[in-house]
Amino acid sequence: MSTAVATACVGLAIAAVVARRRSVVLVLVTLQSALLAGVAVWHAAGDVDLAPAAAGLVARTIVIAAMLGLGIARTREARPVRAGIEPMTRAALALAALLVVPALVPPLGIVAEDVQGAAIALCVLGIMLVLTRRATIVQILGIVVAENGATLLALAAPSGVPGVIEMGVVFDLVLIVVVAIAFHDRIFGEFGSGDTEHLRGLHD
Amino acid sequence: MTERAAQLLVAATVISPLASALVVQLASGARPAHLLNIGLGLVCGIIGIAASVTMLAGVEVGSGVLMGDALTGVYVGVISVVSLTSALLSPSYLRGGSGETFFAARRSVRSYYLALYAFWGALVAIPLVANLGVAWLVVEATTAASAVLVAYSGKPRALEAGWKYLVLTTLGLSLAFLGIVLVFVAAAPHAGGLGLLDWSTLPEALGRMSHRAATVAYALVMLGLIAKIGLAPLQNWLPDAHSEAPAPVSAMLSAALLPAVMLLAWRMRDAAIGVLGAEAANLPLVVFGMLSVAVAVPFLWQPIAWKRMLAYSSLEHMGIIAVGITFASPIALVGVVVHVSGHAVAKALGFHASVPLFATQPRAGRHSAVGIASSSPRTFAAMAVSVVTLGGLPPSPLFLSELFIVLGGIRSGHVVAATVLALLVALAYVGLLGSLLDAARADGHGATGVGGAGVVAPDGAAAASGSRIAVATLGSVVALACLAAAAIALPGSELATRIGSGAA
Repeated sequence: MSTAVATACVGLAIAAVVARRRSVVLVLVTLQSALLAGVAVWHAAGDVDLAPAAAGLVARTIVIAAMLGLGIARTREARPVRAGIEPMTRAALALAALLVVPALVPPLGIVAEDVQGAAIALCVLGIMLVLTRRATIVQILGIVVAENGATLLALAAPSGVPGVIEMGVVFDLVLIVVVAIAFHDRIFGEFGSGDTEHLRGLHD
Repeated sequence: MTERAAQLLVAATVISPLASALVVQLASGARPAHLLNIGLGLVCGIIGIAASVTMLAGVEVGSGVLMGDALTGVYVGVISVVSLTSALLSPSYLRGGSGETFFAARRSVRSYYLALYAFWGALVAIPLVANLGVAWLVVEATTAASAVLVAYSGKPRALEAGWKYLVLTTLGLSLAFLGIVLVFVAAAPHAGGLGLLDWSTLPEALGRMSHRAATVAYALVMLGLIAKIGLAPLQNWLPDAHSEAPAPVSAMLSAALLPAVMLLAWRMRDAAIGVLGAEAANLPLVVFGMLSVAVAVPFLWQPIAWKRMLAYSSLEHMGIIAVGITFASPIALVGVVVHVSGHAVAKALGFHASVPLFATQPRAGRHSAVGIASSSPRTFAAMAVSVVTLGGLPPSPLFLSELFIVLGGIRSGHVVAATVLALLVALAYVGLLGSLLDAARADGHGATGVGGAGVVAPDGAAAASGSRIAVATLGSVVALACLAAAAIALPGSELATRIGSGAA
């Protein structure tokens, strides 16, 4: 796992936090997933035992991108869903989080320090996407980014993660995305928008 | 029973609900689906209860992917009974629906049963799975199945509750997955199979990591599981999801899912305790558990809607269980096991009582129920049994379990924690009692009969669900009495020793 790959993944996640349009966020997160899938395929070329996990990551990238792309095409917003926090503010928050959170976790000596930092950063940025953005599609992509953090860490290990676990994670994530898209469609049908600002009726 | 037969029974416990999810799709309409559900639910429930009894009787199962011991048997029994009652009472809930649901109208009933049985299958697999990684996959699967059930009514509030539940718990589980990968990468960087994450070998795997890495991995896994359980301060989604879900689903969420995921946290704590030390390993459960009980108390004092009150009660009881686990003395562990069982019966009854309650008093879905004692005595009786049990009033088994937990805490040297817990539980009880008294009294205009407090005249359907809740109440009282008797007999018994060794 090279520093360049880890840095590129973090850069794509920061760009996703800042980007306004959900289609752009989808492209950025898909590129990130594709980068990780590419690394997995490259590893599998040298070790056939890693082939199922690599195939799973490739399939996950394609399937999730296709499902979310169709979801976006099916539910055109009358106007872009406002995030509630301006892009530059989001960028500043993302950079602040990237400076603070990985520093809270000391080097664990398991993988290269920059890869460790990048894995944690992806989790943090995924959480930020969910918490700072209102569009349902973008919140789903936040979950994908967070799980890409764990995938990055797994790919950094020489032996990888057991194929069974990797395939299972792929299946689970696809299942969660399927359910999330079903929710998105229902929410859009109910409110005419995939803006979670409409989902603030419950309180004590 | 031979071990081979026990293995097959345990496997059938997981497979039967998953197969039932597919079989019920063969129904040609709503009524055949309801009938098929009754039959399939009974089959799955009986298999699960048989597996539970087998494990409690001392037959241990260790067949690679699945495991079973006495402690597992308790959880399988709880999940099977709760899921069975939810399946049996689902037709009553579904018949009272307005027609519009999360699913397409033509298939809404069959889709409900598909999701219900898929949820049941994943849920019962949680305590049976012998591997942390596979357990994580199964918990994620429960999230997917139960999220659509939470949003089943299709109303905006249900959509909101389901979306928050799906997104927040999945995010939490992503953190847990990062922790799991960390264990795998750190413990066996050059060669490691799935077995590295088996509960039996996990202590060794954690021991091979540096102390720092083990601490970070443990913290991530526990944080993720705690987010899924909904312990404070990560409980934001819990009251919404448990109150907006259909009553049978709310029962499964509160009475079965939360304790099952708590079992995973328990096993993770046990795996890490030798590496991190008792104080560090117990810290997440003590802090989040105590905070949960403290956060629940003020809400239990408020006049809130019945199901929302039950949801906050679940927050309280999961906190009690979390703290009880950390006390770790034999009497506290008996208390935890009795608490899980008694809470399941009382909480399920409470949620099932909401079906006739809302039929009688629709406004009770959003406001505290009033005047139920006179307008629907059977429903009030169910609510009363539920509240008295959850409040821990003698002779409720939860009185005994809470007593055991507090005594266990004192015996193991956690005097302050045990005392604070006892005080908070007492405060919670007063709040619960208040809600019951509200349900009994007349409204401000002195009207408790039909027309008063938004009470509607009972029709045939409401009368039928009133009869069903009467049967459920009777069954629950018998079950609670048996649990109370078992609680008295358990301490020092051979079964308690086997349950304790399953926890160690």
